[in-house]
Amino acid sequence: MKKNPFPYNMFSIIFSLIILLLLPIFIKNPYFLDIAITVLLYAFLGNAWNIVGGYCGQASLGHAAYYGIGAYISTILFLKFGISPWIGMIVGAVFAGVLAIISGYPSLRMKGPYFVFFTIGFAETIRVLFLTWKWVDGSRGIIIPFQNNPVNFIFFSKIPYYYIILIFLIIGMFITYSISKSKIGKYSVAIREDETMAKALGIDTALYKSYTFAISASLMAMGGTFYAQYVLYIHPNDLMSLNNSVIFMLIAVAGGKGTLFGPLIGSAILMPLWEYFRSTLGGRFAGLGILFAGSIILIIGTTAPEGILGILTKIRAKYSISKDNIVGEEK
Amino acid sequence: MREILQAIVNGILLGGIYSLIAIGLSLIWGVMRIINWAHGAMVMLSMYITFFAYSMFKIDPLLALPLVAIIMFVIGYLLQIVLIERTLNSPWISRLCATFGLMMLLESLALLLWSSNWRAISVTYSNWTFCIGGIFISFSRLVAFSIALLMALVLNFFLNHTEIGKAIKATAQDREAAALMGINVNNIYRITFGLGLALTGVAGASLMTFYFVFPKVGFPFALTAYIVCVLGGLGRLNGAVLGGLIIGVAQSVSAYLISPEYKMVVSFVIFLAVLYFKPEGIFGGVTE
Repeated sequence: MKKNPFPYNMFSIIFSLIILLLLPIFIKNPYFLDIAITVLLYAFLGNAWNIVGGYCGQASLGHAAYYGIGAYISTILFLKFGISPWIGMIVGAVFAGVLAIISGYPSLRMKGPYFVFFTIGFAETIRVLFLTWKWVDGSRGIIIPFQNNPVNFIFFSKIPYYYIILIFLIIGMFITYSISKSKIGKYSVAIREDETMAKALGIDTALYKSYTFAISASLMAMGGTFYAQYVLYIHPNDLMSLNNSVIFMLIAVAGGKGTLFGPLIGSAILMPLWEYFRSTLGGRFAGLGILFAGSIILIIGTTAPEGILGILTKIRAKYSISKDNIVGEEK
Repeated sequence: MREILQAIVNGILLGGIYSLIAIGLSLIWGVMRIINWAHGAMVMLSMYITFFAYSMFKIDPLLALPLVAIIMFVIGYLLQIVLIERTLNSPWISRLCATFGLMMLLESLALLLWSSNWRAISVTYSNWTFCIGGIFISFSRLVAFSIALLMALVLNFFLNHTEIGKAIKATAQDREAAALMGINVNNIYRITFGLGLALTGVAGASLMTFYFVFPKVGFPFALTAYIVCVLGGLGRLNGAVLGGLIIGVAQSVSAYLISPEYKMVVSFVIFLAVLYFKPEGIFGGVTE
């Protein structure tokens, strides 16, 4: 087997990057641009979840808490102290990372369902605390006044948002890529495959789990700031609900958890459909989006644990007439 | 002082329901090593069945209770065949996806079919209360609590003194050994899952006498039940009963002393403390 330092098709990556860069020129309708931004944002968030859930195998259902914390920190710094959200975003990311390490200390020693219980409970607690916290306007949410200025991270047009989230996504995927190639990534995969074995081999499992958790939480918080500046309204239930945590997981799992491009594929397929359901069907039919998401997550859980990317790889392997993987090449 | 006593009594009465939901969850975990994330949705489903039994056929919730339990047992048995069995040998993250997806599916279906309106049943005994030493006890809550306790005893008897019950216990202890002794493990799994859901059926039907139902009603109950399970030790049925009562009292007293909004936070703090000091629960749990 020949070792390839970068096992991805360079041509298709550059090609899709060019398409993504030129997309706003072709999309004139702001509604479709909004969907494109949503796709990229959720790809970014799914990618952040993937670091912990996919590579390290710790299925967190509490990532919405870090998402919300990022949004709240940058917004409060901006509105109450006049600090630019760009700086607030970094503060939020650092805070979320530290919080992830602190909360991770007890949680990352837990296994399986205990860990999931903990993450759900943690996120729900943070959500309730924010809902009842008067200083941050609790259940009324915060409206960010529109001040069109790049320094304020507020733009009139959607196009700057598009490029910002595209850059975020590229940075996020680059971080995931470097982690997967580094010691942290290798150790994480070892932890995912067999934690007891990893420990026996001398890997400090708690330490590496907290590393990945902190990186993932920081990225989440950045996504939260972007959401706050894009929508200009934040509310604990919009940001920190369990539904959000599930969507982050769904995107990574549907696309292919533990793969670099899985979250992007998952988001590109799921989010437009999701947005379509949400915008065209109101009232009680709003549940259709969740119905749809639930069915997908159920089907993937029972039949295709490797996600869409896994299915595609299988199909490609089946019909591939390439020379180097005809005989005797198992994975 | 009287108010606190009142809160404790209320907590114990509600704790019975938590216990009942948690027992089902704990039983499923103990035997199959699966966390049923759709447990709350099952409570919701049985509440709706009870509600419609009353609104369409005028069947009293307490009379409908055995019926709901049987329906839920059948649903559980079929779900195990159609869904859960397929995931038994997959990594646990896909098991999580399967039952979590089921929860989302059921909740949104309920929203679609029955809208998000809150519905309640008003039966003659809904508002009966009696007063003992200055403490008010709601009749329907007391009935629900008694049913919960009775069910725990019945289940205990079933597991210890019947053929199937012993087979379930044997499977919980060692799957391979049980299979070698001629126990049909897959069938035991189906019965266990059915039993777990039948317990949510009992919980849902007795809840319906004093509570209201809407599509998302189940999740807070399930979240509490998960905490109860961890407190009592996952897979320990007596632990689930005691854990339910403890959490019920803790929630009720904290709702009185601090604010009802914080009751989940309080349960979570208890949960964390247990995980920190005694991760296997107060009775010691069954781990993977």
